[in-house]
Amino acid sequence: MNDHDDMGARLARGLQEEAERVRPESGLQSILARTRPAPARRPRSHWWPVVGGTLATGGLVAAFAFVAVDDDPTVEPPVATATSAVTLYFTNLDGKLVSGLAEVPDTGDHGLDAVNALLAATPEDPDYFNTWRSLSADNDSGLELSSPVTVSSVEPVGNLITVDFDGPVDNPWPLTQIDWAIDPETFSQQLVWTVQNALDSDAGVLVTMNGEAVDSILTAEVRQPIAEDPYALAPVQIESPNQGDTVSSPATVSGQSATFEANVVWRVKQNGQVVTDGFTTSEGANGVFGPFEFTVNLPPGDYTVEAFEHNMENGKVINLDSKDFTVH
Amino acid sequence: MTTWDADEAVSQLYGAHYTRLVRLATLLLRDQAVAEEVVQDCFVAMHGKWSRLRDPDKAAAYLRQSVVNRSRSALRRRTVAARHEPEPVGSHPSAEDSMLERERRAEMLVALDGLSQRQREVLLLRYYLDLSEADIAETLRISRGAVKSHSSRGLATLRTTWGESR
Repeated sequence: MNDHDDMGARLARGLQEEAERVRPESGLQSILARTRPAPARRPRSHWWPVVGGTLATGGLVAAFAFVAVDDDPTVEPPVATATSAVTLYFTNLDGKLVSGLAEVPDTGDHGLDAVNALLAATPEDPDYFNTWRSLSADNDSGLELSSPVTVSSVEPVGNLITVDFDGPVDNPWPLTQIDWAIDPETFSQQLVWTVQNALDSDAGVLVTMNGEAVDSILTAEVRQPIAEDPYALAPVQIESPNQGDTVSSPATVSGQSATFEANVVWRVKQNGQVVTDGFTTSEGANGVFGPFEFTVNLPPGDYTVEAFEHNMENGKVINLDSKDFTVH
Repeated sequence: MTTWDADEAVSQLYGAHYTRLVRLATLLLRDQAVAEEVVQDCFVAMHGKWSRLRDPDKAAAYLRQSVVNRSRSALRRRTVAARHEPEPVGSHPSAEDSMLERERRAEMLVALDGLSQRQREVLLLRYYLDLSEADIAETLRISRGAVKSHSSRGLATLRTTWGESR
């Protein structure tokens, strides 16, 4: 029996080492593409906050959820309180940070509003993910939560921003074995970038649970306070059109990039076929972000625009971002 | 509690399991490209079945099971190419990967090749995925007794084929 245990341990070690040499490339995009028989027309929608009746434990924060409302002029967004737009950071298929705007109730506490929004938001772009949502009370993951987490306070003091939660943020799914395809440290960066952006600050972020500093966030151990990682951002992001937008032709596509030698390659697809392509030069290059823009003439129809760069060593498409849009 | 739609299920389960499943399939198939294809096939199939699964734990078990089954079929299709020198499975040698360690792992792969397909599957599920006997039995649709005997026979064979070269 001992011999078996020894052999088992040796085998486990050998298999683990051998397995770690396998680094699959991202496959989610092609999986999802194969689940769609034909490109479906996506309804144009916006996220509107709906103010709910319940009050969080703090008594100050109105609970809210985002609901999609079709862009029908007869449907008025529910107006219950002043709202403001906050920038939230999500992750993309490469595990890089991408930003998106969300309209949230404006309580005057911008840091708190932003973290509340991060705990609730579903990105419009199907290639973007928000794992923070898994921690929140209204998460719909279907997995048993240890307990839903809400944010108690976001306080900038000196050169430190303290974000306090009322429950554990280390692993929302304690019963599920997680082997993240993306670097779990990206999740802490989502919070850091979102909070710094809301407070217009570059102070480090200290995450606490009921006042005690936590030592891990969403499955990754963290060293606190957490500084922003400038390499966490996706090197190419399309900012306009938004996912699902309807635009007129010629359509202007713009975004931010920090690619090698400022090159941004683009192509427009219809039903999976490239209908036009080109390249442009960004004002940002080699790790420094700057805007890029190009214009395309297109007949009315549904399209997908992709912007990316080529890996200089092997020519592969990397750092791709895409948006589905309609030309009327 | 509401549940995921199929897209969200695929995305979340992808995040949680994709890498590990590709690694499992690569260990079974010794071919990373085919392994990635097999695992992607499984996710696409799961997407179609999501309305019946509706439960992430069940879906994870389903994915595991279909990865093993599809890898087995892929191996059968590959019989013609059989019996070549087993290649190291990954393409990313680590810095501290000494020649000696590489050789030891190559010997492990040769030794695993000497086992029956079932024994290999049981040992990978147990010692790579760290599954319980009950979960292995469910994944492979065999009895727990069969899991025990495949496991102990497999390890016994490895003791002679791989164990002596240490």
